[in-house]
Amino acid sequence: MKNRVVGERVARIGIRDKVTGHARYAADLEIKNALVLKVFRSPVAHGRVKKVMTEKAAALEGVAGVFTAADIPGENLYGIINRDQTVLASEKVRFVGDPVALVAAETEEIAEAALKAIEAEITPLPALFDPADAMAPDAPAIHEKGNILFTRKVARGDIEKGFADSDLIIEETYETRMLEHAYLEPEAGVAYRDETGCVVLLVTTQNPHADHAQLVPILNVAPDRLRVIQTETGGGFGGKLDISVQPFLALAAYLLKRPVRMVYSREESFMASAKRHPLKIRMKTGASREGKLLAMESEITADTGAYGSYGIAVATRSAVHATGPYNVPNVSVISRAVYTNNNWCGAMRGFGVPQIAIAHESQMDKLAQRLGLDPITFRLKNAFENGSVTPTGQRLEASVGIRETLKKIRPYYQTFRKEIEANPSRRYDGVRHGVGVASMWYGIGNTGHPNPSSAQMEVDRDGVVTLYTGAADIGQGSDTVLVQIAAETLGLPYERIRLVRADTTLTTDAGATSASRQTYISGRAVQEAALEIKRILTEKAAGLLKVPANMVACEDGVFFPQFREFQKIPFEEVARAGLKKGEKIRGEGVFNPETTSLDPETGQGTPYSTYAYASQVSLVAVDEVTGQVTVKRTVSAHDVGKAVNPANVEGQIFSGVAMGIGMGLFEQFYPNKTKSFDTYLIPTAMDMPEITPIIIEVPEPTGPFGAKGVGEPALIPTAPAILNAVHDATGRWVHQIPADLETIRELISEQEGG
Amino acid sequence: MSIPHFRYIAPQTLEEAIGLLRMAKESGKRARVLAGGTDLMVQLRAHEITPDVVIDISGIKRLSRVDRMGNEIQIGPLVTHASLATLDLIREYAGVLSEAARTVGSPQIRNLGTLGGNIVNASPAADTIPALVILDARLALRGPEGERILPITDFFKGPYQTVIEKDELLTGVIIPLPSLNGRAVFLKLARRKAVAIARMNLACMLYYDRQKEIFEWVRLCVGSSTPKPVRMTQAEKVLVGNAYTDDVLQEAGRAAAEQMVALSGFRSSTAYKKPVVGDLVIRAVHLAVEKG
Ligand SMILES: Cc1cc2nc3c(=O)[nH]c(=O)nc-3n(C[C@H](O)[C@H](O)[C@H](O)COP(=O)(O)OP(=O)(O)OC[C@H]3O[C@@H](n4cnc5c(N)ncnc54)[C@H](O)[C@@H]3O)c2cc1C
Repeated sequence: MKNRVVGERVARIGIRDKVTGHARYAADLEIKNALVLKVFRSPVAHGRVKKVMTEKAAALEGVAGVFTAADIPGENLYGIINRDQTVLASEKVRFVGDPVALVAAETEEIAEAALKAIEAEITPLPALFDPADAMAPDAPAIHEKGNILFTRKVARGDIEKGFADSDLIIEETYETRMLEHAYLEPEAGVAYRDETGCVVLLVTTQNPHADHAQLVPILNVAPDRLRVIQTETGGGFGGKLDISVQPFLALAAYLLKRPVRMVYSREESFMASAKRHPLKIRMKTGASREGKLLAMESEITADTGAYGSYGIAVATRSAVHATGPYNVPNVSVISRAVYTNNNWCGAMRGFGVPQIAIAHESQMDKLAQRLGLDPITFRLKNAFENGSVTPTGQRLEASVGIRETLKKIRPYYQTFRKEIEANPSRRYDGVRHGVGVASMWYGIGNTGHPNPSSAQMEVDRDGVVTLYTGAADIGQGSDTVLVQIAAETLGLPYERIRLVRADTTLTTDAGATSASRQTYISGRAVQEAALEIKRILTEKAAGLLKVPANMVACEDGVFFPQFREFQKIPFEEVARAGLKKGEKIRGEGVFNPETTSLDPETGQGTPYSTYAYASQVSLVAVDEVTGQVTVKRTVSAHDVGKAVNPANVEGQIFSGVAMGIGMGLFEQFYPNKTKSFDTYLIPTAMDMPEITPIIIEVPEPTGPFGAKGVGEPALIPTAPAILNAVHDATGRWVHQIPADLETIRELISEQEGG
Repeated sequence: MSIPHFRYIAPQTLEEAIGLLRMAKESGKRARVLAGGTDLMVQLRAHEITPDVVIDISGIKRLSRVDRMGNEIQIGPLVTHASLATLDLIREYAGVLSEAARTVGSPQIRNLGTLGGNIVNASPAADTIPALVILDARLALRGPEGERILPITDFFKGPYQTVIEKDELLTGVIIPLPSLNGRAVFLKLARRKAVAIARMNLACMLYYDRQKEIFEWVRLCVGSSTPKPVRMTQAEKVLVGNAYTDDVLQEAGRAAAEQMVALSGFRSSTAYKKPVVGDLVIRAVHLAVEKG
């Protein structure tokens, strides 16, 4: 049967409200009598908290409460993977911006005045801003357990032999920068106690159930005394996986029994939220004369800043993906996440893979050049295929689309080459053009951990179909995709399905909207729930139609026996049949992709049950006078398994390219210096190239309708392709991002100088 | 963050506005003029300024006119960047100013931001200023004692510092119509293609006599590179009277770089800016000659 909803560009749920400005984000919620919350933050990067004097602030007219660590009813400790972060500092502060005290006041101005009236006695401790210093044996400990948060090793084959057998070895060190997510909507939320005393939070988030799980021990309440509801969310990119305003809202609403609201200014968002881990990557790659990769060794250091957040995931993911999507028989990687007193780093679109891809894709181009192969041919010689074994020893069984992606971009690569050759740069133009290729692979879902999703569906006597999902749509479109999957499975028009989402009281845990996992994992859970409903209804329809169940089909909301299509029964009639008042038909789905934990010494195991693949080619212009790099054209081919909604997939690709241009060319967050978009430059519409998205569908057998994911993959190849194109244009390799004006001008001058 | 409290007054006439400024000055109150507010609001939000009173001049109609008067055009300070970019009178007689205005911020900023605000704010990176310098613009300032007119280069004391008195308003920008058939170019170098502060900007106007094969006259001004806007006279001198050759261009570039360093000293940005300013001068001169 042909798909009717899956694979279609159906209009996104809620899109009209968004484009007309009617969508209500957390900061738009009007809540009567709400107190305004503000946080007093540490002015020092590392210090011991001696005393926090809040009396003067508390005495101000209009201040409802000032809280410190001592006021927290439960545990003053949280963290999504390892718990090391305090809601309000009790003993130590570890970065400039660490929360120390919380103010609740009648107005924003009073709250600001109260912040000024708080005095904190903090004895400064030596602060560390470079992971190398933090790893020194005599370095002061930022956390009790020491400064190395985590080490991940991946070892396969015989690395010594691999290099001994290699005809060509390339070794280089790459550095990436701390980056800000720059979501349009800063952190915000409101909270109140309902009639039963339950604390209700309406908040912008990527994971309401994890928020709930983290907040319950902080408040020390029964789980049903707290409810987290995700509001319309204006982007997250990983930055809204950690709790931000949540504990403050929950605490103040709980203790003061009054509604409260909290909205970060952009400056506070910059200061307080997680950042992308800057990575230092040493990578050594060996290949045979014939162009086969033989060995790859890498040492990765990730600065996780003051707290762990997703540091462990980043160290692991960068290690596991370090070869790129290529067969490399001998691998040795050691990857560390290290504490410093910089802003803490967490999840950001790709968890370390966009960083490591810069290294492996630069290495690939360097090798290709030395071997005299074009970058696509060289990649094709080494790319994974069915049956390939990854560095963690996982045999890839299906949905390995990397070769397809390379083949699809090849004609564009050739066209761009010809265009450049046909238009050599003229005198004083000062512009050189270049073409660059990059590929990537990306494991869908959490690394080596179970990460199930669940969903429920209900049909009532009127034929109203409701889908319940805990998945947070943060703008990427999971609402739409999940409803498409449910509609397709049931044979219903897309508009017929009501959605209840991301509310810890009404829905069950779907896991985080991260790791490009919601379409694949929650999508499959939804599909399972819908299949159960379908089975029940099909049986009922079979009874009504007096045919065997395997003869019954449902399309566009009408059941009919196959080969006797004139005999139709509307969906709602089938639903009603035999149902008593108040009864509903229920279906439930759970999906937990198969993974195994990774061996601590060798990293061997099955970190993910499936991978997405992509290849990209970019045409850039480099202004040799100013050093400015302009991306002119980008063609990005992604194997997504199945594009449930091609428009959504393309949207992700466009945004991934935009974000990658920022990462490659402009962005750098300087701790304690970068305050706002005034100096933190992200690309504008004017900086965007013409983008050609190419969707490739090599179905994943365990995915809903074959689907995998694309959210993070969309970003990953962009910066590496740009850097490789810059090399093509200038003959110079860029080993550090951003490739900004100064970097490029200097590289070009060095070349001219000698 | 909340912005500081102040009194807000929106006078409808020039006289009223100047009266308010005088009153504020006499009573020791800190007054600030608001035109488009695209600089002022940012400074208020950052609490960089905490005025007692904000005088919004955007309702004073006569300050948004553009007129041709004999051999000059007069541009009101409230004329927005969007208007500068599109008005025929400006495009025809002060095209380089149009080009500069077109590079300011984004459509939203260009719709609000004014020429007067750009000048009085006196940022070294202001995009219209190099264009005004090479157009030989003069500024009309009006205070309680009347009007004074001064060349634009005399207006600036340093970054964000001008000679305007507390009770004065900028009331007009006067641009003499170019007497010679010059060709002008504006280049803006920034970290991205929009909403970007100039890393350097450059206005150049020149006349190259193709018969005689010499530069008859050249005016060059580079923004974001010297403490206050000046003409790059040394580079101009190298060019005038000489032919359009590689050697001459290179020499002009070097002269511009040296003048920049002499005026602003060595800074962390000099390593980049010094070679680039020279090359940009060469590029601008080349483009201007090619235009003619
Ligand atoms: C996002 C953004 C992007 C920007 N991009 C650029 C850019 O690319 N290039 C650029 O040059 N600038 C840029 N700016 C700065 C700003 O937009 C311009 O300087 C603009 O021209 C200021 O005009 P305004 O009318 O908004 O000034 P206002 O903010 O109203 O005033 C600026 C200053 O001038 C004073 N003032 C204004 N008019 C008068 C007058 N007639 N008499 C006396 N004093 C007066 C005010 O008191 C104030 O001190 C940008 C600003 C923002 C926020």
